[in-house]
Amino acid sequence: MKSESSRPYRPASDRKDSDRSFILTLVGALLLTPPLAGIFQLDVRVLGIPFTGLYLFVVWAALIAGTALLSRRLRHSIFWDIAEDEQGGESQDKTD
Amino acid sequence: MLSVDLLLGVCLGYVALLFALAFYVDRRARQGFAGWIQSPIIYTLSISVYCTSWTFYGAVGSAARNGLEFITIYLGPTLVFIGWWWLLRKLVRIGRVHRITSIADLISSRYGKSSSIAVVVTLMALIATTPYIALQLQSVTSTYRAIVGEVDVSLSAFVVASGMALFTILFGTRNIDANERHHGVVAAIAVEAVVKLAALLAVGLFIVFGVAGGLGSVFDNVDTEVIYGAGNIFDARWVALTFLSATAIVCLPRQFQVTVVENVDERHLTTASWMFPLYLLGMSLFVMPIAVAGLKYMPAASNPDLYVLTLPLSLGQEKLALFAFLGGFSSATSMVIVAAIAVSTMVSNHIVMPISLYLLHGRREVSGDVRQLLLISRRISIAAVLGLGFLYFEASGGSDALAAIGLIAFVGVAQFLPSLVGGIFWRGATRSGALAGLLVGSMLWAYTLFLPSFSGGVILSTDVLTHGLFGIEALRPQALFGLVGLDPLVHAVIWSLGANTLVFMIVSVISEASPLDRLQGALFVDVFRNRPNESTRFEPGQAKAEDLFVLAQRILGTDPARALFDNMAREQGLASGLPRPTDAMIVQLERELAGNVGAASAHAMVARVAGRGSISMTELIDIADETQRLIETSRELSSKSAELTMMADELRKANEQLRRLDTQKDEFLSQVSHELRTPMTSIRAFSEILLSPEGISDKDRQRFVSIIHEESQRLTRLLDEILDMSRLEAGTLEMSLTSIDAVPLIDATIDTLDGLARMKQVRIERQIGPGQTVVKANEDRLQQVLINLISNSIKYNTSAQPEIQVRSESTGGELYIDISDNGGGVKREEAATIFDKFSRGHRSKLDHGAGLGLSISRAIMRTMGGDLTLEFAADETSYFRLRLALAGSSGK
Repeated sequence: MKSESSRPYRPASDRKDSDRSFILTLVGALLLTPPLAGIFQLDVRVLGIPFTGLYLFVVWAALIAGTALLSRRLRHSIFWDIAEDEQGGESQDKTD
Repeated sequence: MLSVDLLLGVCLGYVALLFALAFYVDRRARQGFAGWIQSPIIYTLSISVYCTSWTFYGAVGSAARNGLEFITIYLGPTLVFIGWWWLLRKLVRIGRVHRITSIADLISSRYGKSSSIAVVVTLMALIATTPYIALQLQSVTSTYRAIVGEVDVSLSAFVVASGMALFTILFGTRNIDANERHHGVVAAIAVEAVVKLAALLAVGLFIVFGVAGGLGSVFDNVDTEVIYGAGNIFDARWVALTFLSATAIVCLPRQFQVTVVENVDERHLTTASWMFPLYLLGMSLFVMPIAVAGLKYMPAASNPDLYVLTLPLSLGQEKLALFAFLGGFSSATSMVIVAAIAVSTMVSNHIVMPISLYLLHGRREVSGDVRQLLLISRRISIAAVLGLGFLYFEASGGSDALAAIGLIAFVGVAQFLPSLVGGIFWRGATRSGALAGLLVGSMLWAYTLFLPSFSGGVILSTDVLTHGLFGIEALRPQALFGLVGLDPLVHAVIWSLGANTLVFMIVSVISEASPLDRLQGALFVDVFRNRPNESTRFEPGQAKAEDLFVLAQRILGTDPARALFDNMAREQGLASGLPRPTDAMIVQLERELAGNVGAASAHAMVARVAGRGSISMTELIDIADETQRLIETSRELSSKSAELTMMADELRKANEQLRRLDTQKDEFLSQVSHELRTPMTSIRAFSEILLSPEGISDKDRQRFVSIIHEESQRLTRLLDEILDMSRLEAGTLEMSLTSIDAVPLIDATIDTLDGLARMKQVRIERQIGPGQTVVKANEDRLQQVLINLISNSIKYNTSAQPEIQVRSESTGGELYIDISDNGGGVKREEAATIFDKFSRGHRSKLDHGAGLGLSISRAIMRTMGGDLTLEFAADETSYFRLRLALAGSSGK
């Protein structure tokens, strides 16, 4: 039985990171949907590529990069005792 | 032209490879070498089962028809994974803690393990998945036909469906526990994920660099309208599609299966959070170029949905076409396998098993192991789900109407969203609310989107579509209640999801949650606040006394629980240890617990521990802890209120004391001022007379001045006494105690008062008893007391033959000095007040004494460790007794 004190302690910096992940999602949703996205619907080509398509892929790539950075930081604040659980689970279920 | 034999050979070889891989990985995992299969990359690749043949081929078709709109199908999931911390992490945690086996299991668990909700969700999932599976069969057969020409469509579809059923049954039901991860399946779909991405990228690269000659030139001479679609790209449909795809990545049974159920480590989400969107980006990177190229190079009549395959074919790239076919085949098979596992788990757990157990009730020992039954039920369900898909494919005749089924399925499973998200973020969500929302949403989905999708008026006639049900215009499926001018999809989303959400919330607010509902709600919403689960489960009849004891301990407290269990063990005739968990014992325990948590909760908890349910032990302990916390809090509160009552009592007493002291102080002050006033008045009166100009004889003057002098002395004495009194009472009067002989002091006192005694003709007699007479006292102060007492006796003696006796006697370490006279003594009723300040005995009524003498004397005696009391002799005559500790004794 785990004692109360073994609960994960989440430092303030991690809370900040989780807030950042929320803001990133929100910004992503706003940039990729109308009315904001409508601003970028332009009949222009950049190096032959239609601008709006380029815009969507650039925003998309930027969101992926931002998430990769944030997830690396958030990874540390996940408290997990999965190893114990897996061992327990497998020994129980291996009856077939 | 690719030969049939080659295509079949490659297909069979690929499938054999997948079987071998799945078999190998499964075996390794069983031997405990999960290793690389549990890596976050495999997890991410398995999530890509989202990309079915509908997206593999259909995205290009959609791009050719509607331009950039296809990208919304990838943007929704991207947003969900970017915000993984807020929703996916919670779902994964709940899935692990509560051993969730499917989305139906999660939703029904949340709402008090409601079986009706489980059935509704399962049926919805089945209805939405069946056409989707048919779509995959269609894509495999039609691409096959595109390569080799005419084939028996039904036969090939049947072969594909059977092959997938075989694979799914083999690797999807190897273990009885549905929660066991399907390592072999996951490995196979991960490989398929790589194949489909590689195939699409290969086709894209070939088109862009091999045919068009660079990314920039692909779009040369292409209308912007082709790329952007007609009109405004970012319209309501764009929002609806993004939202739907975001919902689908969570609510699709197969996505829930790979993301939540198959997740082995919550940290894998951190990798998937960016890698899965990256995978989607890779999948969509060349969709637009392929579509544009298809429009350019393919004949106008060709199906854009097959451009990925037909473009390389028409350009003579047979190997690339074969690769593309394998990519599409991978997309289709991986989707079908995972969807079959996910839906069959639901069908088996929530429909087949309850019915079988009901039918086999009481014959369990005959029918054998329940586990065996579960296994059979799971396998039959898989076959049934795939069979349904095949039948649907056959019935729809492989029509083009199937192409739209992807989005229709998305809207169907999106009906789970309100109860799912509401359930894990809102404690107030209730079973009735979820059920009502699901039913209303599902019905509206079926009426506005699913049924109208059957072309040719199979179910809903064209008449109903254009004029409404029963000819009522308001009931037109695609313009419900006059909501016109919308895209049918947007219309359906607004009606079904809107009504679903509203009904869910309104009914939740109105209805009452059952205890189990509330409990599960708290466990789900606060999943991060609870301890990591121990995930111990109990099989029927496996209740252990230890577990019952742990439960009792949490609810009753350690000592009462121990006493209770010892008692029960004794009743069972056990000398030591825990009692056997017999039915009687469990009932008794339940009764005991009911006193603490109420009958219903106690029943639920004990029933669960006793193996009649599936709440895990740790969850029970959590409930118990919460209950315990509540009990402790209320206990603390009641003890605090008792403390408060006590304090209030003490305060009231203190207040009374203060009021009494205040009254005494007032009385004392008025007495003191009265005592001071009398001499002051005469001093003033006589000094006024002396000041007056009238002639006063020298004799009178002499007399007046002596009166003034006497009165001043009296004032001084009075003030000295008051000063003494206050010092004595405050305990600040310094009094050094020495050993002195009392007898010479008594003699000296009597000598001092000799003049007064002669004047009053009082005879003083002295009797000194035997024994020691040396006492601990302050000589001056003791004499002051003696003078006071004896002079009182002299002054107030009204007897004709006044006589005073001073006796001393030493007994028991103390010396008594008794002073008595024959002057009438003190009356009994005066005894209680004689020592009070300003109290005068009846004998001194005419005197001007301040009445402080006796109380000062007593205070002095007490300060010296002795006492002054009024005693009564046998003949009722009173006398004063001084008591002092003898110097030899230790004293008090």
